[in-house]
Formats: sequence, C-alpha cells, structure tokens
Amino acid sequence: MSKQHVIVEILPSLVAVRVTRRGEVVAHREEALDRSDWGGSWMAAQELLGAAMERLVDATGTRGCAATIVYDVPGTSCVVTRAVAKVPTAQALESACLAAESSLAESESDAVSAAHELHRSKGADGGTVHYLACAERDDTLTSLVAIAEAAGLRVYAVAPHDACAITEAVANTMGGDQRPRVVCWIGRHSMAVAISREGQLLTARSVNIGLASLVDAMLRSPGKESALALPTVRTRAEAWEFLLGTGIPMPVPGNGNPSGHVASAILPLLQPVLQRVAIEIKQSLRFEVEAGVREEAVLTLAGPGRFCPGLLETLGRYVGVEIASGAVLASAREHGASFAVADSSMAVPALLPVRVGHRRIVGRVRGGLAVGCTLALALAMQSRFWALKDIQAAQGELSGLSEQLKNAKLASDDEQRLLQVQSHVALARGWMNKQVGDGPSVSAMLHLLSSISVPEICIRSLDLTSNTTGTPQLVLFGMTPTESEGDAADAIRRYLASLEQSPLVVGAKLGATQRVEVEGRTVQSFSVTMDLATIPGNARVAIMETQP
Amino acid sequence: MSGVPKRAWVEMAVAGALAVAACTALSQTAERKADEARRMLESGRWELEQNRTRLVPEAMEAIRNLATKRRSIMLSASKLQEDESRLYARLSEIATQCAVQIDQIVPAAATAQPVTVPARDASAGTPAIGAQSTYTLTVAGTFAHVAEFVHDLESSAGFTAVRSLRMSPVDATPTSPVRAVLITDHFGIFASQLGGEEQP
Repeated sequence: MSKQHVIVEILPSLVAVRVTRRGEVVAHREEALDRSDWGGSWMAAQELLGAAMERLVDATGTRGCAATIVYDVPGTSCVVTRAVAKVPTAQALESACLAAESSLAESESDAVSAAHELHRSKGADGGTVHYLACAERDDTLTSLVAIAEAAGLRVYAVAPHDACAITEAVANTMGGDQRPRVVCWIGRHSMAVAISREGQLLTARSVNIGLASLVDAMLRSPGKESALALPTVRTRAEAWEFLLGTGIPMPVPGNGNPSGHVASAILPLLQPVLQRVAIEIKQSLRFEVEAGVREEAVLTLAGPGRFCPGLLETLGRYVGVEIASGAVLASAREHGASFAVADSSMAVPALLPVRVGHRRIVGRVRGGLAVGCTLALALAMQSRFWALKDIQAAQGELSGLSEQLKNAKLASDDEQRLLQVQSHVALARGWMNKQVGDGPSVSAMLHLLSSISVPEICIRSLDLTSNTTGTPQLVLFGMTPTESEGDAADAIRRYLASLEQSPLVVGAKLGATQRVEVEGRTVQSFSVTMDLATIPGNARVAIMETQP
Repeated sequence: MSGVPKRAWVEMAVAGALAVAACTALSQTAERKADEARRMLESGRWELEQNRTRLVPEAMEAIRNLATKRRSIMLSASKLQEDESRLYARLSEIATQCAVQIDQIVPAAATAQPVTVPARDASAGTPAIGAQSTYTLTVAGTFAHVAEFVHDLESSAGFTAVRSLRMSPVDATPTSPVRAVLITDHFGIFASQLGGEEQP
C-alpha cells in the first residue's frame, strides 16, 4: 500500500488540494479566492474558504484523509535564529520559539510555536546551527483546523507558508561552491531569500512580497498608456496569465517596436515591486557577505517565481550579480503554488492548536497505553499459558508418579513384610536354638553302644542325666562273664577303650565293679560314667528341620 | 503537556493501573498454581524415592523363597507341639515303625516361655514366640529298636529333644528286652509369630 500525502495550501488568493503518492502528484485541484487580500478580514474569509475546501476535498476524493495544511495568513511569525553548536538543542529550540512568539503581531498569551533545526554548518568551535521557528495565534490555528475538519479532512500538521518557503530556499542553496549562492524563492504572496557559501548557510529570511504584488501592480491605477498598451490585461486572471505567460518584458530601445512598446508600458508599473525585491536581496547580501566577494554571488530563482519569464534576468540585472538557471528542487512543477517540502522528507515546523495538540498527546498516550496494556496482557497470557502448560505437565507427571508410587508402595510394603517375616523366622530360630540348647545326640550314643563289638560285655542299664555343671553324663551298668577274672577285666578295659575312642564320648571313667550271681552264673558287673560331647543347639535344630 | 485535562491523566492512570493489576493477577495466579504443582511434583518424587525398594527383585525372590521355606518347615514342625493328639499319633507311628511298645506317655505341665520380641511399637506387648511341652515316655523293646525309636524321635518328630534317658532290662536275663524311660521336650513356634497366617 503506497503512502499518500494530502497537502492543502491556503493562500490569500488560492486554496489548493494536492494528493501525492511516492512523490508524484496524483490529484490536484485548486480554486481561486475572490478576496485577494485577507489583511483585515481573515475571520470573514473563513466561510468562503471552508466552502471552497469542501468542494476541493470532494473533487479529489480525499475525505477522511490525513492532510498537511500549508497556510499563509496575516500575522504569522517565522524567524530564523542562529546559535553555536555547543548550545544544547533544547535550549536553542526554546529560544527560537521565544523569538518567534515575541515577533508575533498579536498577544503572546495564546501563541503556539514550534521550531526545528534548519541547517548545521561545520566550522571552528563546532560550527553554527540555524533554527527555524514559527509562531501563530491559537485561535487562527483552531480556525484552520476547524475548517479543514469541517471539509472532511483529518489534520496531520499545520505549517506556515513562510516556513516552507525558507526551508525550500535553504535546501536549494546548499552546495560546495566558493561563490556566494543566493536562492530567491518567490511565491504568490511571499518570498524567501537564502544565502550560502561553501556549504555554510549565511542567512535565510522571508519577505512579504510575491508574484501577487506584480499582478496587483499591473492592475493598479492603469493609466491611459498602459491600458492602450495592454488592452487584454483587465482582470486579475488576465494579469496572472500575462505574468506567467509573457513575463517581465525586457526594455528594448527604439520606437515602433511592439515589444518595446509593451515593455515601456508595463515596466514602469512593475518596477517598484521589482526594485523592492532586488533591494531585499541586496540587503541580505550586504549584511552577510563582505564586499569584494559580494559581486561574485550567483542568483537562482526557486518556487513559482521561477516560471515567470524574464524575472530572474531582471532581478539579476537589478541586483548586479550573475544569474544561474540551473537545477533547483522540483518544487513548483506544473502547479505554481506547491512546495517540494510539503511532500518530501524535508521537515518544517508543524503547528497545532493547543486543543488539538493536547488531544493528540492524550491520543498518543492512550494509544501507547493501549499498546502497553495489550502487550502486558499478551505477556501475562503468555506467562499464564506457560504456567498452565507447566501445571499440565506437572499433573501428567504427577499422575504417572502416583501410579509408580502405588506400585512402589506395594513393593515396599511387600519388602517390609518380607523382611518382617524373615526377621520373625530368624527370631523364632534363635528362640528355638536357645530352647533346644546344646546337648548330646542320644540316638547317636545308643547307636555307638550297640555297635561296639566286645561280645563279652552286656549292657544292663543306662542312665542319661546331666552332672552338676550341666554336662551330659551317661552312666552305663554292664556285666561280663567271669570264668576268669582276668578275662573280665580285659573285656571291660577293651570296652572302655572303645568308648573313649568315640568322638561322642569326652571322657569315660570306670566305676565300681562287682562279682554277682545272675541266673546261677557268676558275672562281673561294672559301671562306666561317660561325659558326652554336646552338639550345638542350632545344629540340633537343623537336624530336626531336615525331617521329612 | 501541562494543558492536558487532569481527568484524562487520571483516567489513563486508572486504566493503566487496572491493566497492570489484571495482568499481575492473571500471571500470579497461574504462577502460584504452577508453583504448587511443582511442589506437589517434588513431593511426589521424594515420596517415590522414599518408597523405592532397596532390594533387587532377584534378591527379593530369593529371600521370599528362603523365608517361605523356613517358615513352612517351622510351622510344620511346630504343629506336633500345638496339637497333643497329633503328637501322640506321630509317636505311635514311630513306635510302630521301630517295633517298640509305648507303655506310657505322661505329659508334664506345658511351659510356655515367652520371648520378648524387639517391639517397633512401644505399645506392643511381649507375646510369646513359642511354647514348650514335656512328656515322659515309657517304651519297651530291644536295645536296637529303642535306639532306632530315639533316633526317629530326634529327627522326625518335630522339634523334639531327648532330655534324659533311663534304660533298664525288663527282667534279669541278659537277652531280655529293655524298658526305656525318656523325658522329651517338644517345642513349637506360634504361627502368629511367623508373620501371621498369610504367606509372605
């Protein structure tokens, strides 16, 4: 989408609406105003101006568009100030605004002013900076904005005509030439003079005189000669047509020459105006350029005056400097009342009525606030989104964890129970070991006794007890035939030896022996007391556990 | 700026404050909930770590098998002590197998010997782990059969220990059968002390 500019130009003799897109004029409508001089009747002209502007807005189809208003009404203050570059910009701008306000024709109490940097010249001590400041009465600006808004436009900025003229003149005067360069921007009702040298701006100012002054001069108190000489110039339109068509005639010597006749008729009428323009240029030169160099200045025309044939040559002759019709900014183009600055990147101080300025500030702050709130809300929503995502992830993980936890608890409980059972079993085994205690293996002892092969020995009784120290003791009563006493003793000895060889017997001691009669036979009875080996309780329990 | 109506500034300040408050509330509520969820997650992780078993499944299985086996053996071996009729039946069975005659079985007073369990809970009592009963058996048979009977008593009649033995011949002949008086102790573990009735 291309950016479209709408420029509304309000001059005392003209109101124009121009639409540009990418620097090209896509629509242009203008309407001449009947009242050529608004000097004392600006308020009265507003109704006329509003009606004309509405027609032009409709014709160009710019209703609802944002527009820059370039206006030229009496009383506007537009000054160029100069400050060294060391001065802070804010202070310099403020002082420039004060200067513009102080030069305002009316009271300063309701003045609206604006300033911006016009040109920065390099040099020793940091160089100098020129500031362009303009000031206007608030009610004038309010009226202009009201007219434009009533016509269906949205006012983007309001710029004084002189500020645009000065800006454009300065833009045209820039160059690296060593000769002073004088650019004279001439418009319908005003002109601006800018002088530079070697890229340094020397001066820039506006003068309240323009092409309309020449038109007025042609129409003012026409004498018989002029009426005879210019029978076609009777109205203002015809005068404009003559000025932009024929231009300033060159004085041609000799009677009977038609050109010379016209020149001799018209030049006396135009000469005062031309002289004044020339004087303004000369004064500017005299103030800013030293003698000797002054004569080397080159004069260039810009603005609508550039399209007035013979004007540059005439002014060059009057001022006494060389003229140059070289390239200037494509300012006026085919429409004599337009500025290049209005639709280019060149900035001009923009004025706005206090109310509109405040409204705009409030609007901007509100817009900023809305953007800020939206951003904050978006951030908060994003933060909330991420937080909710975290919550969701945590909940998901938590549900997985709870499942794991459930299983883990089951496993843990199982483990605990198992360990508890193991502990109980161990405890029970310990208890059992203790209860069973250390003791002899009675069955092993009996098996030993039955396996000892001393046929002469016959066991009569056994008595398994414990002695006073708790050691198991087996008291065996036996007998052996006594055909020979020596044989009986030998048999007992061998039996005792066999017992002592067994690991089950710790010690065997022969007790009392006695010869007794049994069933008519004499036998040798004896007793043996054996200390038995004990088996640990846990081993005894282990044996018990091996049962089928 | 100074000429801008105060009401506009107040309106904008209020709007800004409300917006900031709303945004803060929105984000803080969500953040609080998220923090809570994170804390719960951390708590869950900690709890999971606490409940994680310290034994690998193979070790658990081995312990389970061993404990089950031992418990089973102990329970089985303890049943004879718990049930007198079963004990008598078993003794008779052994006597029959060993060809001895049981003349008399005289039970002594059962002596439960409580063993204090290392209690985890201070309020828990001190239940007995098991009980012991003592019998006096009078049996008759050949020496070899009595020896076999004693052997079977010691190895296949539950937790039975022969405390004393007095053996003497039935009559004066050298080859006469013998009579043996045995005092036996029978031990049993209470099933409740082996992890209850349920299997581990």
